[in-house]
Amino acid sequence: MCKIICKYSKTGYLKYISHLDVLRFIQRSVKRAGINAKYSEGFNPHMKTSFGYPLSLGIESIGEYFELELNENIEPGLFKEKMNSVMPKEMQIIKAEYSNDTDSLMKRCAYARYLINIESNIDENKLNEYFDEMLTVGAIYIRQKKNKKNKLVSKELNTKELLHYLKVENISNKTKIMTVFKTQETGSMKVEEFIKLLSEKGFELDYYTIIKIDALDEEMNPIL
Amino acid sequence: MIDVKKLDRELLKVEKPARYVGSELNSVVKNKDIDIRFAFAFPDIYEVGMSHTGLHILYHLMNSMQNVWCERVFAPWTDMEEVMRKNNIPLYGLESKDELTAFDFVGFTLQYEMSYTNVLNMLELGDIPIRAKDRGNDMPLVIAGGPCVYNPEPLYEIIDLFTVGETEELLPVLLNLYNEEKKNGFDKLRFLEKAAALDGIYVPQFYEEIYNDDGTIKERKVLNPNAKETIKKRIIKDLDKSYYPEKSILPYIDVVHDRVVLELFRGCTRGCRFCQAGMVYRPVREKKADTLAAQAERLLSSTGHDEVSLTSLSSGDYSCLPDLTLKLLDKYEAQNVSISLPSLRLDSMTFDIIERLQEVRKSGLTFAPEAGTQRMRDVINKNLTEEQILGPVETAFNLGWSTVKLYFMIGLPGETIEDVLGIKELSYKVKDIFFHRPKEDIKGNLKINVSAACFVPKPFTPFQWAAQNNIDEFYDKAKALQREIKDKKISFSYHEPKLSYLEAVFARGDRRLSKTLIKAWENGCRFDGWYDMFDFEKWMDAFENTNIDPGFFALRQRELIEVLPWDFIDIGVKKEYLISEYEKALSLATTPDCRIKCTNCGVNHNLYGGACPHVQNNM
Repeated sequence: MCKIICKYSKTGYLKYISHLDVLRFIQRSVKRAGINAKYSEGFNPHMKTSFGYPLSLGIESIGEYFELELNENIEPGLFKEKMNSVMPKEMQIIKAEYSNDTDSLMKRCAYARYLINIESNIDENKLNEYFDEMLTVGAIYIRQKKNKKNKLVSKELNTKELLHYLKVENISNKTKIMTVFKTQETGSMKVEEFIKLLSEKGFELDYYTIIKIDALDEEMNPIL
Repeated sequence: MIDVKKLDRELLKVEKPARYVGSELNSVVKNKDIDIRFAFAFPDIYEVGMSHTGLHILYHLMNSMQNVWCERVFAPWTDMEEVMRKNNIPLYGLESKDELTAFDFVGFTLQYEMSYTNVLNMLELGDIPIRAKDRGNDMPLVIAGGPCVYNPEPLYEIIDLFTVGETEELLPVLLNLYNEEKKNGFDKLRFLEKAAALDGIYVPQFYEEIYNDDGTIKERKVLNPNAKETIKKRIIKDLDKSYYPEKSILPYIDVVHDRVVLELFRGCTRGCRFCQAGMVYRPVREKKADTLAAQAERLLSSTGHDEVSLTSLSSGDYSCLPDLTLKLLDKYEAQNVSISLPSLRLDSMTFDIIERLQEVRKSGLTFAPEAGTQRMRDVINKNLTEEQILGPVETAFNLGWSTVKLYFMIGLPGETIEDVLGIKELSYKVKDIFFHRPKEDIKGNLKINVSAACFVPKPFTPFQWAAQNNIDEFYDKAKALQREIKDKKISFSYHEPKLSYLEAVFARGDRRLSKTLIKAWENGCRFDGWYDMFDFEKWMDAFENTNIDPGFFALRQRELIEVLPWDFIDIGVKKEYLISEYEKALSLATTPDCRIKCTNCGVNHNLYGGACPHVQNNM
C-alpha cells in the first residue's frame, strides 16, 4: 500500500472554508491533478483520504495535513508539483512524503502550534502573568456540548491540562502570542475558547489574526 | 474597495461566511483598470445562484472579452444583511470586493418572480437608487435578463434596460456599444436610445401605457423615436457553435447543484399548455454528441467534479441520448464519475440507459403526470395515457425502485373535484402496482411522495388568459386530498397557495405593480420564495397601500381581445397559435408532439427562417 502524507497551507479567504468543504475540495484537486488515487469498494466509492485535527473556521494555517492512498507509486516531488498546479495560491502543498505509520493522522496530531497577532494595545506584562497562571494553577472554564441524545451537557475544563506552551512577545511593536495547544482525544483546547477566556479576564482583543503554524506529534515534532 | 478588514472582523458572525468571499477556483480576477466592469447579480443566496448554469455561461463569456471584467454578486442572507447595514459595508463584487457603485453594469438574472424584492434590496445595499429615474450618468446601468423578462413590466420603474431572450450573442454587442459611448463621454439617455435600436433590448421608460376605465390596457405608446414597437426575443441559431465555458467556478461550499452541467438542447417539442419554457424556448436546437463529450471533458478536468448532469427541458427527447450517455459512461466509469439525467420523461425507452447509469436503488424516481385524470391531462396536452404512466412505474418497481415521487398540479383550467381526487386515484393505482406483483419480486419499503403545486398561469402559454383559482379554492382542493389520502405508504404535500397567488400576480402583472413591489420591499419583504421568510400580510398591506387589487391580475378570466401587458414582446410563436391551443384545451383536444407533425406555431417563420431543425431531422 502506498500512502502519501502531505502538509498544506490554507490562507487568505480560504480560512472561511469549513473542514468538510476542504475535504471535498482536496479530493477534487486530486482528480484534477490526474493522480491515480485509491477508492473504497462498494456501491458508492469514495477516495481514500484522511485528515488531521480540524482547523476552526476563520483561522489561517501553514501546517495542515492530509494523507491519501494511491494505486501507484509517484515521486513525492512530482506529486506536489502536480497538485500545486491545480490548486489555488491560498492552498498549496508544502511537503509530501510516503508514510508507513499505522496510527491515524488524527491520532498523530497531538498538539497544535498557533501564532496570534494582536492589533489592539494590550498590557503585555499582565497578559504574561495571566498566562503563567493558566499554565501552572490553571483557569477553569465550562464547555457546553451536545451529547448523542442532542442534549446540552456541560463539562468543566482546566487550561492547565490543555495548554502546553503560552507566551506573549513583542516583535517590532506588535503583540504576538505563541501557543501550543493539546489536540488529543483525551482533551483539546479550542482557539475560540482561549480568546474567550482572555476577553473574560478583561483583555479585549479588538482585531486579531490567528495562524496555525504546525501540527505536532507526541514528541513535539512537526508531523512532516 | 470596501473596508476588507472590517469585513474580516464581522464575517465569523454570519452563517457560512464562504458565501461572501469569492476566491473560488476558476473565478476570474482581472486588473481593475479595464474598460467595462460588469456585476452579474443573482437575487438569491450564493448556493442557489451558483447552481444556475446561465451564470457560468455568461460569466465566462463576458470574461473571455479582453475589455470586460465580470464579477458575481448574490443576495446576502438576512444575518449578513444585518452585519452589512450595521457596519456600513456596501454590497460588493465577490472578486474585487469593490462596491457595486464602482461597476458600469449591474445585471440581474430574473429566474423567478419571488426574487424581485431581493433585486431592490441588493441595489439599496449597494448604495444604488432603486428607481431608474433616480440614477444618473454616474451610477451603474441596471439591466436584467432571464425567463421572467418575458413579462418585464412589474419591474418597469427599477430596471434601465431588459434583454429579452437568449443573450449569449446580444451581451457582447451591448457591451461594445457601451464602450463606444463611454469613449465619447457617456450619456445614459443616448446610450439607452442606441441600445433600444438593437433586437431584444427593451427600455421601459420609452413607452407609455394607457388604461381603460375597467383597468385593462387600452394601448401602449412609443415615446421615443429610437424605441421599437415590438421587441423580438433573441435566439441562438446554432446552439452547437454557441459559447459554452471550458471552465466553471468550483464553489468551496456545498451548493444546490454541485456538478458539471451539459445542456443537451434548448426548447421542447411536447407543447404542454401550462409550460412557459416549452413555448418561449422554441424551436428545439440540439448540440452534437461530440460537442457535448468535448465540453464534458474540459469541464471535468477543470473542476474535478464527480458527476455530469445531462440537462434540458426533456432530456429523453435528445436524439443522441443513448450514444452520448454510453460514450460518457465508457470514458468516465473508471474515474468514478457518474452521469445523471434529470428531467427525464419515463414514457420513452429510457430504462436501458437509466439501468446503465446505476441509478437503481441510489435515489428515488420522479414521475410528473401533472394531472390525475385523462380529461385533465388532455386539457394541458400532457399527451400521456394512464398506461403510459403506470407502465414505466411497474418497470421501475421491477428494476428495484421502491421510492417514487409523483408531481401534480391543482387548479388547472376547467378542473373539477373529480379531477382533483383523480390525483388520489392515480397514486393508489401506483401503490397497487407495487403490491400486485409476485411476492418474491416485492423488495424494499414502498414510499410514494405525492406533491401538488398550485397552478400559476404564465405569459406566452395557451393559459395566459385563464383565471387562477383563488386561495380558498386551492386550500379546499389541497385539504380534500389531504383528507382522502390516508395511506401510510403515500405521503401528500402541497405548495403554499398564498405564494402561488403572489407569483401569479407578478407573472401576469403590468407596470403598475412596480409601486407595490417597492412598497412590499419597504415593508421588509425579502426572500419571498423562501417559505419561512414569506410574509403574506406585508404583501397585502403593500397592495392596499398602492391601491392595487392583486386579484385583477391573478384571478380574472381575460378576454382574448384584451391587450396583455407582455403583448409587445414577440417570442416567435404566434398569438393565434396560443389562442387555438387554448380553445383546443377547453374542448379537450390534444396537439401532437411537433416532431411528429409541425403544429404551425410560427416560430420557424418568424425567428428561424425555414423549417425547425428537429422537424427536418424527422422528415
